[in-house]
Amino acid sequence: MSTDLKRVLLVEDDRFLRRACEKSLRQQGFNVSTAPDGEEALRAIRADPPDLILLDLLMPKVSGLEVLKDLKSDEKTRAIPVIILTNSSKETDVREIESLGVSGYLVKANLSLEELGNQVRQLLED
Amino acid sequence: MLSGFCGCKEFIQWVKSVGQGRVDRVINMTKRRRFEATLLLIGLIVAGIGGFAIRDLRRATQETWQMHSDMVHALDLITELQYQTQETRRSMLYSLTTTDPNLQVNYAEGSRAADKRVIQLIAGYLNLTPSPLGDVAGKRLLRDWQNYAKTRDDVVALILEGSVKEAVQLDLRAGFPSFDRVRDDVNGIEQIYKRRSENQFAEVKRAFNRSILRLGIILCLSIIFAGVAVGQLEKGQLLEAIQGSEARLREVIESINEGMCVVGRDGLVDLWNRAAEVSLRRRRQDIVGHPLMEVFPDLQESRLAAGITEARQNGTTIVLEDLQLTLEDARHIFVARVFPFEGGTTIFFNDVGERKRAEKVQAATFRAAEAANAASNLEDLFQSTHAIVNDLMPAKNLYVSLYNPESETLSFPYFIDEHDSTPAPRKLKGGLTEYVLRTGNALLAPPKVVEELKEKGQIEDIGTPSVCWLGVPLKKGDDSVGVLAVQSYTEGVTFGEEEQKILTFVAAQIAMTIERKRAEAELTSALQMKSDFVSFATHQLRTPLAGIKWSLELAAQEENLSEETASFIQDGRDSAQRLIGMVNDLLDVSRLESGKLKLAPKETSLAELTQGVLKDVSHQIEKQGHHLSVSGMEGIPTVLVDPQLFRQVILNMVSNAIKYTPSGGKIDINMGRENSLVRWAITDTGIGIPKANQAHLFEKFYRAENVYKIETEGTGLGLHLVKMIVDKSGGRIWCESEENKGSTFQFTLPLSGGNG
Repeated sequence: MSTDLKRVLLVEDDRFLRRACEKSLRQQGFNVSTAPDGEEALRAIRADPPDLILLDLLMPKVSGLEVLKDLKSDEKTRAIPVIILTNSSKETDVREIESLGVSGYLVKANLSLEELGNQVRQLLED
Repeated sequence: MLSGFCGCKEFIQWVKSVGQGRVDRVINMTKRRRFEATLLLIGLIVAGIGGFAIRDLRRATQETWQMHSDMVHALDLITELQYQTQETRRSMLYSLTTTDPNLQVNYAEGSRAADKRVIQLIAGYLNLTPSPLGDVAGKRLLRDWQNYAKTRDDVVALILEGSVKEAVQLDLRAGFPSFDRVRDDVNGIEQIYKRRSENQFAEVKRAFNRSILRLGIILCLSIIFAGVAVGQLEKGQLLEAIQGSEARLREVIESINEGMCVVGRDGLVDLWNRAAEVSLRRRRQDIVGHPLMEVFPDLQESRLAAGITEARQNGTTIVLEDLQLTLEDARHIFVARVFPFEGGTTIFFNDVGERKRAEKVQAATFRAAEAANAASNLEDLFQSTHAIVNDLMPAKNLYVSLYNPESETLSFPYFIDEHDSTPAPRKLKGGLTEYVLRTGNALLAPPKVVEELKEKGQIEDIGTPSVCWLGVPLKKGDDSVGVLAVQSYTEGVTFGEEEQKILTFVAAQIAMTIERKRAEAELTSALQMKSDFVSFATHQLRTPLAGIKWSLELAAQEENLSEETASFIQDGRDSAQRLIGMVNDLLDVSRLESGKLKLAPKETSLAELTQGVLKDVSHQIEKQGHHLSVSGMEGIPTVLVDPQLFRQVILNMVSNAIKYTPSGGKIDINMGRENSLVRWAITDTGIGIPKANQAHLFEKFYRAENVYKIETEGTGLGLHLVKMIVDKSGGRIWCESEENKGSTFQFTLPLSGGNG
């Protein structure tokens, strides 16, 4: 693995999903790190900002929406592309998230890992 | 009852003048009738005269005819007589002048035979009644002719003896004068006829004159009679009409609801109707014949006295609003209308206090109903209701008590009271509230009633005792669900039947609203629960489904899998995919229906969406061995739709085509621009849809009859969702299908603005 691999942070509380997703993205050539909740995610991002964040919404401790708000309010992290990766599609959340600005909003159940990899790659190549 | 009318002739005069219009109508009516009667009489007269004239004319004609036929007979006779006379004479002369004795006898006999014939003829005519010869003249003619015939017998006898010379002498002596006499007779008869003819003419003339005279007399009589008869008729009807209108007016005066009073010029009351007795609390016998102002001293100083004077002076009607009168200690408000007339003044009194109150009650009950409808919650309803009730009665103290049958407690969600504070919810006790709740009937309870109920052990004192308590049940069907009560602590302030009525109405409104609110709350919470549940369930279901899906995706990528393992993994992936599809449909339908899901339209390429979907289902197509063709993707314009949802639309339609087409079938997707629309269609060679099912195809949970040949799973949501999305996107979707041949599903969407 070369050091110039793009670094992707996967924030996901469901360990089965986290495991499958991490494995697949690695296979597809990304440097993946993971966080099981919002709190840890924020800590990891501040310690070492990744190239892209895959963010779940419904999580214990700090929700994905709060993480997103936090990132967008901080000059250092504002530019990091974020893809929302969720199974919920609460309209109120969607609207708020869109107003904050994200690079994608994907429903996990409707998504194959291959597609996810393509989306991530597309975003990082731009 | 009519005693009030004594001494009010002038009023009756006035009434008559008021009734003039009616009388005029009657006169017009009788005029019309007079005309009709005249016409009728003229008709009768003409018919009568015609009858007389016909009779006279007939008689004259009959007489003339008789005369004519008599004359004909007479003339016949005269001709015959003349002929026979000549014949006899000639025969006689021959017998006398011949020398042949045989011829002499022949002629003589012939002459005698002719005589006999003539005599028979005359006798025959004489037997006719009346005789055409006239009696006297006829008889003389007969006698003469008989004498003549006798002489001739003698002559003939002499001839037969041979004494012709003597015969000639006798004949000469007797025969010629006799013949002349006969001629005279005949002339006489002619004269008779001439006379009779003249008489007849005179008779006809007289008859005619008689008819004319009769006609004249009858005409005159008829006209007089008609005039008199119609006059009588008219008089009778007018009288009846006037009497009728008088009686009716009296009835009307007695039956009107307004108090009516007639004051004569002398200022004394002439008329006082029943309504006046009631509304002004004075009996007729106490006021008729007395000065009005004396009976009602209030009026002396009021505007009414001035009003009466003014009305009389100007001859105009005057209306006096808000005329206040104290009657039996209560203030009453009247509207008085003053009408002057020749003989005095008529005053109508209208107690508007009652009406104003009735209007107020009506308006308030209406407001109560409105408030009940408009109330957003019960607290609002109780407050607005209290305000309305307070307008109508001294309801400073009002409370609403509700019974909860589950906990068997009585609560007081609204309680306004001068003395007591809101009671805590309590188990049923022996209060008045409980009593109303128990009996289900309204209770009007002044202290006396309360005492009675206490003695009977029906109730006990709770809270501060009131001067008057009025409670009505709040009813749901036959059950009492609560009580609305008002109470007064002020001496002299009480409630009555009317207050009870008002409160009962208001209670019905409150009960209805409580029930409605309860139903609304239940419905809202049920809907919320359903919606929450669906959202929750779908989210909770989708997370493990995503886990299965992704894990199997990874597993499928493993190398060195046995063929069987690989196929098991693929089956798992297909199943997961189907389950995810169903969950998605369920979620989307639920949210589209509840209006929670708003479309997020973006410029979208149907070609790209289709490609994405086909990639997802490529394995299924392969597995089924279907031949897939896609056309029209190049250059297809974008449409403004929600891409997520339209992906679902296309996925559902493609999945259906795959699922309902037997292995090795053909699936053709075609898209393109058509005028201002973009069309997308998918055609398969599947089992098709029975004709009868096609109309219901897009209904929720509907599944065509023949799908069970293929699979038993399926929610019947897919096409319903598709149609909802297409409809909401401003498009149209429909299907054409023939059973066992295949189906074509297609939708059209308007071109987005971006395509110009």
